[in-house]
Amino acid sequence: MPDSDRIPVTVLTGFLGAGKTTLLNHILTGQHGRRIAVIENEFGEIGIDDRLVIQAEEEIFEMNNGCICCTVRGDLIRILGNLMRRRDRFDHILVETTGLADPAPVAQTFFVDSDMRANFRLDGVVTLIDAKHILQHIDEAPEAKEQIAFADVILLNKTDLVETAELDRLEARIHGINAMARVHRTTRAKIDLAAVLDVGGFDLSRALEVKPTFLEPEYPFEWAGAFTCAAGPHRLRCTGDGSDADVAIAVLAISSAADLRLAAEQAVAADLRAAPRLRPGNTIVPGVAWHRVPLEPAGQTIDLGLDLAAGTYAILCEHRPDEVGLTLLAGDRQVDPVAEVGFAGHDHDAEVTSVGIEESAPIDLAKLNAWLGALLRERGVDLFRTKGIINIAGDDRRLVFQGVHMLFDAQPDRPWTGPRLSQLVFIGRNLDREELVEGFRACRA
Amino acid sequence: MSGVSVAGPRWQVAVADHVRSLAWSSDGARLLVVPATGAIAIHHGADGSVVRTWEGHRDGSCSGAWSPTGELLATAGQDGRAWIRDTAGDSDVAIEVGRGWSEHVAWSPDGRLVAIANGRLARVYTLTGTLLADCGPHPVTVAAMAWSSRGWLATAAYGGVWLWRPETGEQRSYAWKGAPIGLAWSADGSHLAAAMQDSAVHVWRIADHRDWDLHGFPDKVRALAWEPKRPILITPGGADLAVWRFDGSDPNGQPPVVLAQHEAPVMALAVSGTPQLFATGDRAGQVVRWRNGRAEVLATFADSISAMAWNVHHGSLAVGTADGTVAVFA
Repeated sequence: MPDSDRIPVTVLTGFLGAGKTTLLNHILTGQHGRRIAVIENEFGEIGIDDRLVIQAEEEIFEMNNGCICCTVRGDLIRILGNLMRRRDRFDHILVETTGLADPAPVAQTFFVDSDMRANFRLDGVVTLIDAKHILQHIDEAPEAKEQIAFADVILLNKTDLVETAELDRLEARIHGINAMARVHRTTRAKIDLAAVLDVGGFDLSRALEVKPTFLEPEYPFEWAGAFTCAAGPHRLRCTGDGSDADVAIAVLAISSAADLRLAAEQAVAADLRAAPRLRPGNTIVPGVAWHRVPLEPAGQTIDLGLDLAAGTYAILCEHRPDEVGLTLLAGDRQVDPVAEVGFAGHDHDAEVTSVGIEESAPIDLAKLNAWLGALLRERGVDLFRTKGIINIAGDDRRLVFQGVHMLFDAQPDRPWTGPRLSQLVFIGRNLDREELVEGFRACRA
Repeated sequence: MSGVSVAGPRWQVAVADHVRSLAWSSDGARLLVVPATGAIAIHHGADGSVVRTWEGHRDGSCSGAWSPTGELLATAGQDGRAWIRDTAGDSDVAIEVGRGWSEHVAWSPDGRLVAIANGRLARVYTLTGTLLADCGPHPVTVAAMAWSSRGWLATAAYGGVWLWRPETGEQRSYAWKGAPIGLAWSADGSHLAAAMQDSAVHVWRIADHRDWDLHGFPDKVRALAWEPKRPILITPGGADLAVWRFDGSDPNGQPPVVLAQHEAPVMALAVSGTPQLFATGDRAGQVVRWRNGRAEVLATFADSISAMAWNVHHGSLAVGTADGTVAVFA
């Protein structure tokens, strides 16, 4: 069956109270002209008397196929098997999971069962997050992290209850776990339905448009702020609390606050480990370079000189400003940032991360199969999701694939237009970037 | 393709839509057609004309079966209901089985009881619709159900199969780590076979609890059946059929006979009353009659074969398709 004839399936995950029911209600009442069947698992939550809402209990089946993490949702195979036979075909299937569900079994269902595979395609995993409570969930429940790791789209919901700076930090933390997901900020789960229903799970290029740095390693710093300064001497002040001996800081001139992320990209390229250690009273000259500002003795104020021309400056800091007492002073007056961005901390969520790989040389299909096969067999338990668009030597079509744990589905897609660039993303636990990059590079034809 | 094409069907009609079940009446004169949505109908076996119709179950019908002994038939559907229909009169009985879908229906061999699977229960009713016994609850939804000639009701759900005698309350269980999707009793009730979600088949010998795991199928076994006289099991897994003999001392070590003719996965199977005579239908619409291991292609339909039933009285074969065609071959 051609891919376009397979009915798209969207999986909706998120903790209880994140707003799944609200989103479902938008989808069921929205004027989108599609026939959507909803399979939902939390009884009695939906207030709509709609025949297309099917309530089911999650029945998770382990498969005896030698794949230790291979589980499927037996209830879905049964229910969708019945829907498939109805004359009134649906345009779209939406599967809501229970709050604490591991998204793997539902995703794997569409890879494992031959009928499901023939008739349906997993369009996307959409995860709703309660911006107010997610940090608590991430730290207390592994399921929250898994739901983020599995997502193609994340709705950071209830943003009206949280400050913008806090949302920036949350988004940075989410990207630290899953660099591939598109994050939308919402209140009352209000979102253009195309953003959740037409995800097109394979379309990495769209993910790249959203976050051009997503193939980069994680940022070695947590915060960047933009400051508008008058000409003259300034002081950069830090105060240690005893937890760190020093903090890495960079000061870059930028043309406007909008270039804060650009400054961050430049700073990533500079070697943080080679940063010279300054002493109190030293002067920092703005530029693409890191400096180590001492934080000892604890509790003592450390001032560094900054001789600035009038303009906008980006200050990048290894830790969050409140952790090291970072302030900028013009004379005795404090200068507040006009914009700030948080980045994933290098020590947060180290166990669940993303690794992106790009390669322009053509790839040998047999080598790729052997490498991926062995990798998924040996490391599949730790790999939540794998996605790729591959430039196969001698084939003018793109090879697209996606995998969940040890299972994957690969097929030739449309012909290449534009540069033939292979892109590959792994999201999982304890990933070794170098090992993955070297493994993939070894598949070059 | 080595098959021999034969003459076309005796009759062919278009029905409401996807054919879920086909069943011949006990005298072999009438055919019950249960489509996924739309009217449930009885057709004349001789010419296909419609004898009677009933409204289908709201949201969709799941299965239908004719009583082995008389004029009654039973249907079950996604409205949670079952109907016992009196085809000779008008004393129909509606049964509110449960809140979820009623997916399977099975008659006891004496025709006095009907079992309906709904969620985790197999509920057993008398002909007046009185609940006689609940078999279960199972750990998850009942996936398949079949009644043996010796009076055991077998149910299958993730984790194994269960045997029940609803009238005495006697019960047995056979644990197996797997997810069954279909069940079939051998004609003498000595062996029970379950098709598994993970492309395997598990067989139990009831007398001594001996069991066999049959695997190596390239796809899941969507239909399975035993030959009418001896315990010989036919298992289409993917396009090819494997035939296993359980009438010797031990099928282990004996490879199955493999029958190849189909090029698409086999979706339906019907056994006749004659040994080594059965029929299969595949996803590409091809119907094959097998006689002594040789294939004859009966027809190729435009859509997938979805149901088949052999008329043991008249030797004719009914075939239903996913796009709502029913045909009968002589």
